Amino acid sequence: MKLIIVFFGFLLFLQSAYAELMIEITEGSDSALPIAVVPFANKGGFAVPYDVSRIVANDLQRSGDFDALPSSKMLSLPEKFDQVHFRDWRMLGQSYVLTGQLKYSDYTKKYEISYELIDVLSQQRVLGEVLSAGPKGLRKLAHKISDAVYEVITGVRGVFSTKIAYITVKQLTKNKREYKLHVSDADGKNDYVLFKSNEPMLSISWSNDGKHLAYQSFHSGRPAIYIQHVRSGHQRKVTSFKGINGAPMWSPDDSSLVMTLSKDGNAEIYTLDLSTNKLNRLTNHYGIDTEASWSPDGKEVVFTSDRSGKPQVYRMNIKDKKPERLTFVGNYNARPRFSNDGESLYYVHQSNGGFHIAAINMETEEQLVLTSKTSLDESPSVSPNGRMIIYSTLRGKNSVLAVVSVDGGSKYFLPSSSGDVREPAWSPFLN
Amino acid sequence: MKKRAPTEIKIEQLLNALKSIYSTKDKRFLMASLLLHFVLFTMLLVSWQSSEPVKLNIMPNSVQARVISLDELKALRSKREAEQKKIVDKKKMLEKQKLRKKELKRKKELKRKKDRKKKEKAAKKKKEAKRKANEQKKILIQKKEKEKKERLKKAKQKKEIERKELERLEEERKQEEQVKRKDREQRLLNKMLQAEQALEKELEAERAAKALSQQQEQALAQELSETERFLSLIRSRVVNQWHIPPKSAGLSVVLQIRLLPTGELSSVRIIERSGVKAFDQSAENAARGVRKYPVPDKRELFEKQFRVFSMRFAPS
Repeated sequence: MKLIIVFFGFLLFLQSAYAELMIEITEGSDSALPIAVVPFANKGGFAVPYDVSRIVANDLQRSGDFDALPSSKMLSLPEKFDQVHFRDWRMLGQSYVLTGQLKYSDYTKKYEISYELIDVLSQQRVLGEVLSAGPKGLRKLAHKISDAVYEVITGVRGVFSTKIAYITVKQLTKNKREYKLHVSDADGKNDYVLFKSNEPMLSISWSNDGKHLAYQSFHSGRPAIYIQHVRSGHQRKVTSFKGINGAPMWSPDDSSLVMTLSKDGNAEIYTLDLSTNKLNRLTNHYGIDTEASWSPDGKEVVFTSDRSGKPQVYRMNIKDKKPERLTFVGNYNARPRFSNDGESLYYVHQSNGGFHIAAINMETEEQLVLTSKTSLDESPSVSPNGRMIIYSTLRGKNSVLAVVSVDGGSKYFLPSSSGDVREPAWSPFLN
Repeated sequence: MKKRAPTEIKIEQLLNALKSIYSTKDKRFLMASLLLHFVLFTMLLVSWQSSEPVKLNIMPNSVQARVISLDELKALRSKREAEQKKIVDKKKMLEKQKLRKKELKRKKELKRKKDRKKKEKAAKKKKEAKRKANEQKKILIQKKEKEKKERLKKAKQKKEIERKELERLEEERKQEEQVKRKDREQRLLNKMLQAEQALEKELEAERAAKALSQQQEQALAQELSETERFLSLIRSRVVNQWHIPPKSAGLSVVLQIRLLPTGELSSVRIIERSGVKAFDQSAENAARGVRKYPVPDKRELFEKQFRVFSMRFAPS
């Protein structure tokens, strides 16, 4: 009996000895991570076509994951790790500080940028690089720094060096419009026109190698699908069947396009093998089937169909060709696009009298409206890191491009050059 | 070639006609054949009436003789003798052949009998051999059975010996066990008596310490509520500092925090990693981001709970 009491006493002693207090943290701050991007020191005072540190700060701010401290609030402007007074930055509530120096070589006609990312709390340098570029390459170089900073802090690859393609529409005369196909950096800057026409252009899709665009154009007098090489501008017609030729989208391996054709009498989904030009009809229904896009593994397509009476999103395995309805909330759900990991589906959803971008979790079937504050939202396209969605929305009288994070947490508009901006498509990673 | 009579020819024709008629199955041909038959019969009758009358040539009963010479007689006799001899020879030859055949038949019969006897003998021999083999087999089986019985008998005897040995051992064990049990029971009894005495003593001590215990319980409750309060404060400060990186669902990291009595962070150490560097770093930064941890003024409570503690970061 005594032994038993001693044994339990010993157990209690052990328990108390190892019962270290454990605090469970399951939530985080709603605010973005504070980062100070210190203006890069210009060693020599030479002219610089772009403010590299400002581009980096804007990139990080736009991502929605960072809150960049305005330079006016900085207590000091360190150029490198040794000059950082951690107490100052801690007082300012900053988690990270990005410092940098910029030099220009007359000999090579190139700028050299050395930068360092410093963790204020652990007081350690977590990233440092020396990069160089010509005057024209400075913007690209700035995006590269943004990508590196974003990835080392969040663990997710940045998309600041990617591109977007979109269409602008300008009313020239009462009956004449000008349609332009643009390609620009992901921040909307550095854009150029790849193709223009007085006839409508729609449904842009990037090939997964980032080298080609597929789209629908009416410039030959009738709807047709074209593929255009982004760098050379070389354009070729892929289909021009009688009736609708639209909504092309590249397969994950770039070997085929999925598209909508009405050559057999009704709008149906087809795949076109680009090496053999062989068509494969996927849908066969008297309802309208359109706006198909591929799942990341290339085994399924999702598309819009009004076979139930109203436009809804359906999924189909391209082998068994059996459609399965995915959306049941609301009377209008269209233009579906998969997330990069295939776990979510983004689409246009009508609710409260407006059209919004919504997401559905493929596992839980939980629906989340991401853009409740904008209306007439169209054409969602997911960023290659799966964190952002670009779409077009009505702002004032014109449609503009907007970006929202996949959790709906942050949102921003891209600057509009002129007229309506429509049909955005986010490129894949380009390097 | 002998010239045939017309009647004979007609009969032959009739037969031929009949043959041809019977060879066919058609009734029409049967009718035709009957008709033809009738015609031919009529023709036969006509032909019979038109033949010449038979002349009767009756010869006188007389013996005709001819004179022959002695030589001729001799020749005739020798010829007759020769013929008789020939006949006798032939008879003899036939007799001989008959005898030969009879002999052959007899020999054959003899051989058949011989063969039958031979076969019977062989069968008898075979039967005898079989009988002997069966007998041998029977003897062998009997022998085996005998051996088996012997074996079983031996095994039974052995088993019996073993059983007796086991019984003996079991008996010994039981006796030993009984001795041990008695000893154990005695010892247990002693222990129980001792434990009861000790328990009695403890109860006495417990009763004595009861008043003091109540005071301690109150202090502990106060301490617990103090701990809870500071835990909540620390949690809220850390949550404000934690910027959860994207795509962190399902990750978890555990940090060990060491504080100074002033609430300042002395050290932070990752004791369980998530496997994602950015996630672990975000948790570490959250812990470091708290400038001053809220801690109790009571040194005892601080030392006990807040000097060293752990934090698990796992987004829900």
